[in-house]
Amino acid sequence: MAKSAEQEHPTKAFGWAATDTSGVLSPFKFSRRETGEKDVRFKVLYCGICHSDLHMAKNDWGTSTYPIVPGHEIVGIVTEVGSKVGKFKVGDRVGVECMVGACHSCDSCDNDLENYCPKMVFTYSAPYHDGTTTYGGYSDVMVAEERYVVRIPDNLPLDAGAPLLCAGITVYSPLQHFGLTKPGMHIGVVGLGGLGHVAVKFAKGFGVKVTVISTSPSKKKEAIEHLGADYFLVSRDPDQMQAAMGTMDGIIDTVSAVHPLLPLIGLLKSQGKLVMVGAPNRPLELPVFPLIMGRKVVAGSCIGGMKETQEMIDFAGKHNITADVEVIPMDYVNTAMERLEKADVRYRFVIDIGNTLKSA
Amino acid sequence: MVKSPEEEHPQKAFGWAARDPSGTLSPFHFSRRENGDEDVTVKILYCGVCHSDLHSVKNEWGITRYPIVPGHEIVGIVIQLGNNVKKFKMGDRVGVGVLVGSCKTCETCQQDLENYCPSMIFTYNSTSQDGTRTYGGYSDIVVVDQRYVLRIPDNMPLDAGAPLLCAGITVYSPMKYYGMTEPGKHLGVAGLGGLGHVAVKLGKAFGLKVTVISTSPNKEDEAINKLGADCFLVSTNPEKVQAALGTMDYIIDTVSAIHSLGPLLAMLKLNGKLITVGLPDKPLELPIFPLVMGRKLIGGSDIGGIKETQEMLDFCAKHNITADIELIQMDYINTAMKRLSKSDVKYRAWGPIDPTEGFIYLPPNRSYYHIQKPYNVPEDRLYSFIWSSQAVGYNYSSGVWQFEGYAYVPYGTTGVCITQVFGPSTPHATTLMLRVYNGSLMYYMGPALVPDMYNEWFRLNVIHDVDAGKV
Repeated sequence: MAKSAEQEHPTKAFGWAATDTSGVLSPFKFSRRETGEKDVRFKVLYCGICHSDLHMAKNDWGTSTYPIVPGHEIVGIVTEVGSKVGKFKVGDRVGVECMVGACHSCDSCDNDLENYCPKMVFTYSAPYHDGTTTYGGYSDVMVAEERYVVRIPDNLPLDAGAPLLCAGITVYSPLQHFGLTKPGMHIGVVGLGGLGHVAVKFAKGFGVKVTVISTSPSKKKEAIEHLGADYFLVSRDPDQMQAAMGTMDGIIDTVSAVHPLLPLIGLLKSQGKLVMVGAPNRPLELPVFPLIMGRKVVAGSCIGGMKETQEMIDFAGKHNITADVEVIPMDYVNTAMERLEKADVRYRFVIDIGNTLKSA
Repeated sequence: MVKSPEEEHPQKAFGWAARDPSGTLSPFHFSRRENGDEDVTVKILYCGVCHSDLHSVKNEWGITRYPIVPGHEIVGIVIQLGNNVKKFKMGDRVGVGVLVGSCKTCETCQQDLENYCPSMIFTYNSTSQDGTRTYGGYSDIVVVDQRYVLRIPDNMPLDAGAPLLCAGITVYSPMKYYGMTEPGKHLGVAGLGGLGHVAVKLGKAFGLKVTVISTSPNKEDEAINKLGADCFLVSTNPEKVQAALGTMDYIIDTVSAIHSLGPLLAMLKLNGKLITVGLPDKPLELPIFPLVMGRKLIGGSDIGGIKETQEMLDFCAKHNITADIELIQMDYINTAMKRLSKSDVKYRAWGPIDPTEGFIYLPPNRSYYHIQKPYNVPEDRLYSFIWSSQAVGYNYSSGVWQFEGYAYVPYGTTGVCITQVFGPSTPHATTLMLRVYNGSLMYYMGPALVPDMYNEWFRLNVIHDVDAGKV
């Protein structure tokens, strides 16, 4: 007989979960496994709200298992480590991102690309090795295998650092993999939301020239003065777009709404690369001519491996890169989700778990 | 005032052109520029028929200016060299591909990537630096800057090598650029036409495992037994497609019809690369999820630079790779185009421009020469060549005969007979009489057939259908 969420594991846990496709979250009692010999247990202090949390809470992708406790930008302080854990000790500032498991024996895993392992286990709403379903970071405690835990550099604040665990690695990985980090290059960032604003900061950290491409002229001031972008293009303005044709070495496209690729391909220089990290749920139209005439590439990228995530966080620490966050109490989460749906946030909500998640 | 195609350049040329979007080709007189210091003049022997030629004659891409002489898989012999040309000599076997010019100074040109130069000039349907239009290889000669002329390796047949100049480089270039040449890796080739069949041959030469992905089950035998592919997959068979998911390191998509990229993306492994070289005239459907979840990429590629094209030709010669062709005559071209539009060709058709194709060559000898009047010029400077059944021992009273010769009429000579074909009944009734009067080639005293013949060598080719009494 299947055990209830509260009983399936030995230690009590508490969080907020969505129980149906309305996506509305409410208090939820469940349990976490004991700290195994390779596990790290930590008290969750903050958790970022990623747009994927919203998609999953509403089962937009058809893969959700209810009840679902979202959250995969989780940071906190270590309270217990397993006997075989070497990298962390009690009191360390750590984080867990989108994955908590993989097969560890395939090509991808061997290459530190657990994110591409066919058996990769998501931090929430996924079946774990022990047959139970994983629960994410909108909760008071987290237990994860050492391999899936990263250290947060001392100089990075936990709240503003949390979103880097998903948004940060999602843009850092393709910038590196597709060679878009050489000083002097010109990179475009499409969409100025959670992913986009972090992309601008990382790109500037690499010393490249950055142009933000957005549908909202109102974001220009912020982009240039606050985030440090060099230019701002309103994608609906044909003159602006025309003037920028053939000027970019690479573009990171963070937009998850359906949108035309033709103008973006036109912005690329010959042999330029358009990397999709937003995931529209319907196919887009790919004009083939411009791709061929300029030997251009359209590629995708999905988060990053654990080794790379640690590298990204250390880079962020070194360059003082954090996300721009709005810290909210736990019971604000449903309102936050509504605002997120309307893109009304600059630029990530972060739930103050440590101070505001109270058991009923 | 704009000059006509016949007048804009000094050298006469002849080819076949399409004049409107019906795409029907017909004979066309035009001209080629003088052979400059950097130029090579090529007598064209063969020209491949590329699907792009078909798209262009029908203006399917909306960029055609008529009249258009297509053809960018050109091979032939060097017949003239500019003063600065050292790489080639007279009689060399050479080829001209898709490009005949570029700016030579931009970054891409400096990297030997003339094919990505923003000022690139195509072999046909482009504007040259002098403002005139370029005309392609469905013609008798072409004049090209030496930089854009390729040498055809000695062991490569000209006819089967011609298609490599477009089809060959179009698949070779991305295979190298995107790193698709690691032995043991698995290459999928979507579409088995002019591009696809060359991709299979190159893939095998690189040591790859090759799977052909096609909508036509009847191509399987050919793909495996003749082209050497390892596997064949009918893309409309769901079970076969399912079994192939996530198995390919690379795919070259040569299909120019509209198709969804989803199934092809799904066949790629993690980090797989889908390279598209076909040119559909509308955008294709691209699902983003598989791209993102598998860090896959879709890249385009457009022919190749000249240096790379030469490298490709040398590679193909070394591995004995040529295209599979169907040889056609020039006047078959419209039928060939119709068949091409239905994909009814294995795999490239090319047409010889040389009208002697199909005729049996009978060499002339001195016994046919007779002294001709007028008699006020020394004998050793007069001769005519008379061919008759009695003289040569062939039965000239029926059949189709072809005569070809070169002639030169100096300025001031007028009334001279260039060629005369008598009728069958008596020696004096005439089927054809061509004379040069005041510099113009005329049929008796009728309208000039070709003006301004003075001081120029010209080639005359006459085909006489004895039974029909026509030339």
